Amino acid sequence: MKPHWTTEIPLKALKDHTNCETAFLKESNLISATRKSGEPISIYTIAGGDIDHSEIYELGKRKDIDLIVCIKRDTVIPGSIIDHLASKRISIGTMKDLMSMVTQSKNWPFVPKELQFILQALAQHKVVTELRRLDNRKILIERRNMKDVIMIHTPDYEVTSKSVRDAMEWAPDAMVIVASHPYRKITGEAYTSAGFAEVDLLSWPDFLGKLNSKWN
Amino acid sequence: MIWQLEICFLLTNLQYSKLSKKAMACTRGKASPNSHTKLRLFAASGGYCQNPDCNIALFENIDENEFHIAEMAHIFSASDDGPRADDKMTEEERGHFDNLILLCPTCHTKIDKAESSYPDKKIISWKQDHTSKIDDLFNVKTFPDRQSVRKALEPFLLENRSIFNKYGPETDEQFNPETHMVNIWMRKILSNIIPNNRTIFRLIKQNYDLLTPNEKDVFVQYKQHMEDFEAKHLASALESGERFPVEINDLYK
Repeated sequence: MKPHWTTEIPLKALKDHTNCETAFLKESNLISATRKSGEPISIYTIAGGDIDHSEIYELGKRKDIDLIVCIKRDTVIPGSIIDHLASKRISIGTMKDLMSMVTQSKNWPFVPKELQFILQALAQHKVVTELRRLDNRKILIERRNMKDVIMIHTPDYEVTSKSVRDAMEWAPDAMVIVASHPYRKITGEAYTSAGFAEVDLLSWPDFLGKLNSKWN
Repeated sequence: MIWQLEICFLLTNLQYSKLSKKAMACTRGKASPNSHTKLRLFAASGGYCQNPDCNIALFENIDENEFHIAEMAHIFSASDDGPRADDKMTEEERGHFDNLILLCPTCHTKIDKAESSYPDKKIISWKQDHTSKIDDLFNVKTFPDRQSVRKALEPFLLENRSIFNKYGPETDEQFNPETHMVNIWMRKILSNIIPNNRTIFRLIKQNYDLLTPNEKDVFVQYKQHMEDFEAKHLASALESGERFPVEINDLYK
């Protein structure tokens, strides 16, 4: 059995993970791993980048996959795929999500760490009526008696103009970039870039406050 | 402690004479310390009794009254028949800085009344140790070899790394925009990280010649990191600047 190139990095990372007992190749793209503490996990690896919807829907029919890992960084995973796989109790994410998932003891449910708190806090916000993940970073927020807001968060510690431009490249339709890192420093250049792009750049507390207003 | 040192150094002649009147010194002619010696004694004490088992502050501030309780004690007696007397010493030698120690009234009384329990060597070691502690605060030692520098450096590197791993921006708290941990991190930066950074810098600078050529490059990066880090956290600079060079953890190994 010839291993698919996409399995190389996850296999090595799993073997180095503190909560991973064993990790081996079950099929050319399928890794089977056991946790030191928790249930076993099956990981299917794909290249990522441009997601092949039909491939994903086929994988969704399988019963032996817990997580689909997209190897290419910054893979945009559409919300429709996230939702479809969730209905099958399959998660999809990147290497960061794999490492995070192995730290847990269970495979399901799984919410990426960087979104866990954000989604929880938004769901509790008094004007928020519905939340929808448009992709793995973009969230649609439906508000009571006010227009919807499309937000993207940047987890960067130092929020620079590059952070803003990367966020806009990911989500050109976003109305707000939220600097979610609690220790963040937002540079002046970041605000300038956001201004040119006509998108709001807000810290988390400011964002929560602004959700109460008729902003757009 | 530092303000008390500053007070010692900023004393004027007028204040010297006030001190000499108020201080409970042994006044025996030339066996008594002159004004410069008194000033030097106060400076060397840092404002604390030099008995390491005491170290009580010698400057008091009670209601509106400011005074000191320092006493200049002779190691070898000012007279031929006092505690730890040495009849071979001249009066000048008896009144010299080297023969004096600054103590609180209790410790002064103890060393003179229980002479056998407080031989000269013991009192001299008190004074030397006290001086070393102050030197360590401000002066940094030059070490004879890399192993010694490493031993001195390691606790500061370890502490900073431990604080970073526990409270820093790369822990899982980064995923919680409302974490309180950021306040602790900010506090630790001021109370530990920045002072440790400066100590590390001074130690390495003082022992620069023991660095290898590669390590000297790392040191240059470290200096930039230290300055940028302080600019960010003390002067509100928004940019992070030079990242911490992890190779600094292996210096002098």
